[in-house]
Amino acid sequence: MNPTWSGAQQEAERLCESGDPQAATAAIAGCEAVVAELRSRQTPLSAEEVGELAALIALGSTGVSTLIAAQPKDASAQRATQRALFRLRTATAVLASQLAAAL
Amino acid sequence: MKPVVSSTVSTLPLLELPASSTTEVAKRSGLLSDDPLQRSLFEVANGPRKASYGTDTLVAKAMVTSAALSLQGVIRDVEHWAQDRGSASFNKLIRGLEHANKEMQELTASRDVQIERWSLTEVGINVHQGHLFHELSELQARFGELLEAVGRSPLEQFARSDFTEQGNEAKRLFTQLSKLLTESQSLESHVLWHARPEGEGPSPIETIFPATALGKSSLEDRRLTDAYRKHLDAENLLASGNYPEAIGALFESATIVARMYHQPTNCGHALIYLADALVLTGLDKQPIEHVTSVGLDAGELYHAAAMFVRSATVPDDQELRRLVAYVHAQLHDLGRHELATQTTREALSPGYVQGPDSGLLLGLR
Repeated sequence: MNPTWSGAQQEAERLCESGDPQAATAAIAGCEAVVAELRSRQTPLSAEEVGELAALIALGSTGVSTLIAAQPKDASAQRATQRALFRLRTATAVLASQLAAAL
Repeated sequence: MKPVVSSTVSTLPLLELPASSTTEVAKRSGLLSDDPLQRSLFEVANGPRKASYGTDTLVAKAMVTSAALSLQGVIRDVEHWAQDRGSASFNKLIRGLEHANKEMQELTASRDVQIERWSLTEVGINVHQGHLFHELSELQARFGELLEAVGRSPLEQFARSDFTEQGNEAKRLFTQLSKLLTESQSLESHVLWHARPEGEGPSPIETIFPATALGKSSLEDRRLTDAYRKHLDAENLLASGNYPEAIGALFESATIVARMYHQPTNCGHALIYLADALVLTGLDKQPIEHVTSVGLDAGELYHAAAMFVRSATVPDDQELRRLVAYVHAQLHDLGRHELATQTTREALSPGYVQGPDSGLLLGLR
């Protein structure tokens, strides 16, 4: 698998398994890197890539779920989590739009 | 599921059609043009058409509520399928997703017409926290729940296994789910910025773009309307994850406002909005060299914003204190503790003397 994609999946898995909002930064960066790659891509996705992309969207959704459940009490951490949610949800939705176009 | 919209619409005198689409309603009422903004400006100039306006509001609210109910159904379907993984529950999930997608597409198609027109007519920009705000916030919450349900489901394993084997079921599921996620993001773009909790800070968009100025004919008000269009572009770009272009559009919008030196409060709020966008997108350490001749990062933009607003008011002004408290918290979040202290001290100091041109503070181009 493409290293950008596998890196994104690993970071998203780490976020989902740890449940730690601080792990969101790397997961978001990974998903956004995949978004950037897909935007500049000229060739259609293979069947295997479509599956991997779907898996990444599912992981992104789980990551969003993790962040929603985190509910930090500290106001500053709350804002940080909100920001992470915004970016992860956006990245997941953009990945979804890429997948919808490919299917 | 019975769509809520039908029963609501049937009581409305102006509608003779089953208004499953607000676009249809707008066409029937003669208000829909190819360019919603131009149409809105026309309406501002010629007076609001209250009956049609009110009708559209009710229809749109009903549509949003109906979509939220459909999403609740989809969430239940996802959970059922996650539990039994049976073909019956799978097919029910697909049908639920298809139905929700149909509703969402209609809603999205109507959104531009609705929001843009309402934004610039009699209600002004307050539409963001008025007519549809609560309904759209509810819908946003349902999407959050849907994502949670998807996250809890075995969708990831399903994607990996099924796409590499037959692919048909996974393809059906992800086709619908991807469409739904895409539509939701499009709708959310008009909500997420205005969901700041009560008391957390100013509601900048209403301050930056006063409804009374939009669509008016004076040069300054035309500039403000231009800035507002840029601002809407920026929000859509943010929602699509295109951050560099979004920041560029926000910069252009903020710059137009900032050049209106006699309205330093608008300028301050515009700068806060830009700084918020930088923070939200993780670009807070990147100096925005286009904005000023010196290049300011998000922290410095917050500082400049507070000083702009201070230049227009007195230290014990309630709005200034609320804004400074917000800026102070944001600066601490960014780890800019010294700047937070400095900003609060300067902005709330009785001894602060405004310079001859507050624009010079920023070296605005």
